[in-house]
Amino acid sequence: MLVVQQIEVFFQHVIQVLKGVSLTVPPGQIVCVLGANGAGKSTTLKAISGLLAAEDGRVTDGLIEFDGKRIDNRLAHDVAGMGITQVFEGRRVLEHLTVDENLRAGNLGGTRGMQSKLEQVYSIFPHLKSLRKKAAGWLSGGEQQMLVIGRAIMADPRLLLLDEPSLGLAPLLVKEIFATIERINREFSTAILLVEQNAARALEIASYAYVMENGRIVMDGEAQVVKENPDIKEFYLGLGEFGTRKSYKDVKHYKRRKRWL
Amino acid sequence: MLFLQYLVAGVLTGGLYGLIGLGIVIIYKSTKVFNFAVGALMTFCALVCVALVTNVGLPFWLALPISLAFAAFLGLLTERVGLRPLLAQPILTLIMATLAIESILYGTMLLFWEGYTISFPQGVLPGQTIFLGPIFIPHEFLYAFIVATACFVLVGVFFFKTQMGLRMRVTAESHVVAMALGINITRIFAMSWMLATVVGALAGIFIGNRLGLQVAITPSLAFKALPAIIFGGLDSLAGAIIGGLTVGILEKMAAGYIDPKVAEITPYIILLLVLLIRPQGLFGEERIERI
Amino acid sequence: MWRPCGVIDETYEQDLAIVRTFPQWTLTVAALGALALLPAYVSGVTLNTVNHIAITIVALHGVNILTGLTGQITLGQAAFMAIGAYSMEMMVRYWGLSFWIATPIAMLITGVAGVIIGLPSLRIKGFYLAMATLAAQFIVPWIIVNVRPDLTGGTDGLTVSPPSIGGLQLTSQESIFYLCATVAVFSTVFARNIARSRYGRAFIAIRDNDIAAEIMGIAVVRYKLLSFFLCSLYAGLAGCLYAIWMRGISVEHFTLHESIWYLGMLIVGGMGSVVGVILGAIMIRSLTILVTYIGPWIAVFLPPGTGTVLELGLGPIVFGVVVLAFLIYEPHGLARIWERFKAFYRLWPYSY
Repeated sequence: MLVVQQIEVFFQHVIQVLKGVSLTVPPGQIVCVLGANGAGKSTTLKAISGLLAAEDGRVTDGLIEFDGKRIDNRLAHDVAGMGITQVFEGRRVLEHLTVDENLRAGNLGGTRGMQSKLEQVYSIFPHLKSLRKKAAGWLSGGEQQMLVIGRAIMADPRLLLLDEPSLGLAPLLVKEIFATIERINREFSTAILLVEQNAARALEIASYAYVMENGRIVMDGEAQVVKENPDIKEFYLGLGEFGTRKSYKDVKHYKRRKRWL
Repeated sequence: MLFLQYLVAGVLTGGLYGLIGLGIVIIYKSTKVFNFAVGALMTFCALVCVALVTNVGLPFWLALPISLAFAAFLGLLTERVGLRPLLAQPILTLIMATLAIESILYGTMLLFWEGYTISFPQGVLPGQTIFLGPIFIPHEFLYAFIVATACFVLVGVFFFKTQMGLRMRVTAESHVVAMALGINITRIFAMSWMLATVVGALAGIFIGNRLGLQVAITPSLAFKALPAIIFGGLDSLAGAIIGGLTVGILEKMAAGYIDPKVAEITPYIILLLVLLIRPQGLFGEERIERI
Repeated sequence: MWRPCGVIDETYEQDLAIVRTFPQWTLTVAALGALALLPAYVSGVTLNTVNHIAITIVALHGVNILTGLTGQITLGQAAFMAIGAYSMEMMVRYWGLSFWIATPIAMLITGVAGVIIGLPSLRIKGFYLAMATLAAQFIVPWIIVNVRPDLTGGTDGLTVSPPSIGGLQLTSQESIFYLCATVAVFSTVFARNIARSRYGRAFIAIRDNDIAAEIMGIAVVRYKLLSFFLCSLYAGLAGCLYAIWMRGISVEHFTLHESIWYLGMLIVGGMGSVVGVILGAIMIRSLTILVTYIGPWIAVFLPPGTGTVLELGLGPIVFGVVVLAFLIYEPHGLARIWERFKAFYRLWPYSY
């Protein structure tokens, strides 16, 4: 459904952030992108959703196709209209608007079907319903995360781009959020491109995984395969050679070389 | 009794300030641009309306919608030519852009209308000054006040009850989120400029009815609306009308009790005081900061 | 500051010099010489314009320090000029001081007024500050007209008698030219030195990020007010020159539009650049003169009777269009174009 081929992204014509990134998201599947800070994960998402222009960035090479149509460097609202919705990192709720208004704003079309969509979101996040008249800025972190995901569902996307939904949330909430992501994927058969730092959880729900470093995809494969890779275990899952939790006591002072570099 | 008279006069003038302020707030809310050209835009549209009545000979009820349509067009043009290329530029650039537009409009008006005082023919608005006991109410201001109130209600309904209004508020909140939600923000910008200019043109037409229009003077009347909106809070619709009324009443009180000359600068003194004491205004949105 | 390749400072004196290379010295001396001989070649009308440009440059240096370097937007430069002009004339008229003594005092008065108007800048930024200075732009003329009209002449203004130096009355455009040109040259040197001193760097730090500047140990309050003070100092000086150039003062000379024009000239010239100040002032002032020449040509195509209005209206239109064009296409102004030209001729014919 979504095909990203060898894209290169420059900011302000000089700073190269992506150096040939390729990935595919098949319909109805969860694909995750792992990687450290600054690897270019968020930039990849922005390149897809067309929000690079707002930061003076451009896709200079390669192409992005959605359902066979080129969408690289298209305007963000056109891309959103085609069924790709991005959920930002860091819970960008519309602070001064109420929960209800936040959700309504997510609806792309007119007011038709608004009520049923609202009910749908409230059935997924029953907790939000009790907060519907509250200004979104005053919600807790977990509630805000639910709100932005709910807002994205309002748009009825066929592809959902999720940028670090677990950032800064308590482990219990993280679990809940990931369960919801799986549920959305199951119930609406929405394809999901998930960018995460929490590799263990992401690999559990994803069917395919990519690993990014320094603006390149350095590894990809079925989630199960990636999970078993010793390097991934070491650097992303924090597990020792035998699958036991690694203790900081044993960490050597030199860094183990990653084999893919 | 005199107090009541000043109060009534203040409320009526304040309605006009509120209307002008509303035009500024609409633009500021969705685009974060402060429109210094509002006075020139308003005067221009009002002058067009006068020209339609006196030179073309149209009846007022026909000239009014035509000039409002012209206002919408002018707003659209301003946004397209002047501000669209300057999206997301620093504040000084945006201020200077609206000032440059103000200058262009000012020059154009001088070309066509020179420096004379131009006003609508007598009796364009039906009715005459109303006397309530010792208090008199100029009917033009009464009309203006009613229209201003209607505008506030309509704009309020638009912003808070319709999907389009919601989109405008989303755009005001965050441009990036709005784009990601499939909102065409450039269209929102154009819409808010059109809406704001129409509201401003209404104010200009009422000013033209009561006081007459003068190219060199009328635009600066709009600057008196600045304290009104700063007082009320730059992004608050309710603030615009309450600020407008407050400034109008204080101005008339100053004129009545101190000296009519003092009234000229009362709004600016209020402006300075508000800026010094409470810059975000009475109803301005404070940043919600949760830690 | 960019320097061409191969120009190397070997001593501290060289490092501190404004004019550093031999060609620069030649050009400077030639330019000053040409300036000195200018009255011999051009007519009184042109000289009149040149004087206006010189006065504008002085006022614009002030705006540049406040807006270009410190980033505080001012819409009140004309009001400051009015304060300077009126306080000078009133001291001359009622206290019998000579122009040469009254002017520095008037500058100081303007500076203090500037600091007072600048007080809100400690709490507010951006267009809020623009509005505070806008309020000043309306309040100052009102005070001049209404508080003591018997002293200030009210709306009629005052006539200014020409000052004399060593028995020579500065009545002719030539003599005023020498005064204005000298002041303009010295204020340019002074402005240049401020820009590259510790004060200038503090101003720029405040412009770029006032919180970061404060953390770096710059006393933001003091430097903001200092910036307002310097800006008004220049405004006061320009106001005094304006008074003797016009031979009279009235609040109608110091309008909001005048203040807007100063900001516009700064945009056209290039924010924060001393060269830009000079280029911007020359460009906008000459354009308005040009318009008065072109006006009658265009008037031929218009219905009769619009000719005189054309000159009035065309000025603001051209000004607005030029400023808008610079904002969109060259936000760094003429100064950047000049830099590019210099880079071009240094490298020509071998670019790279």
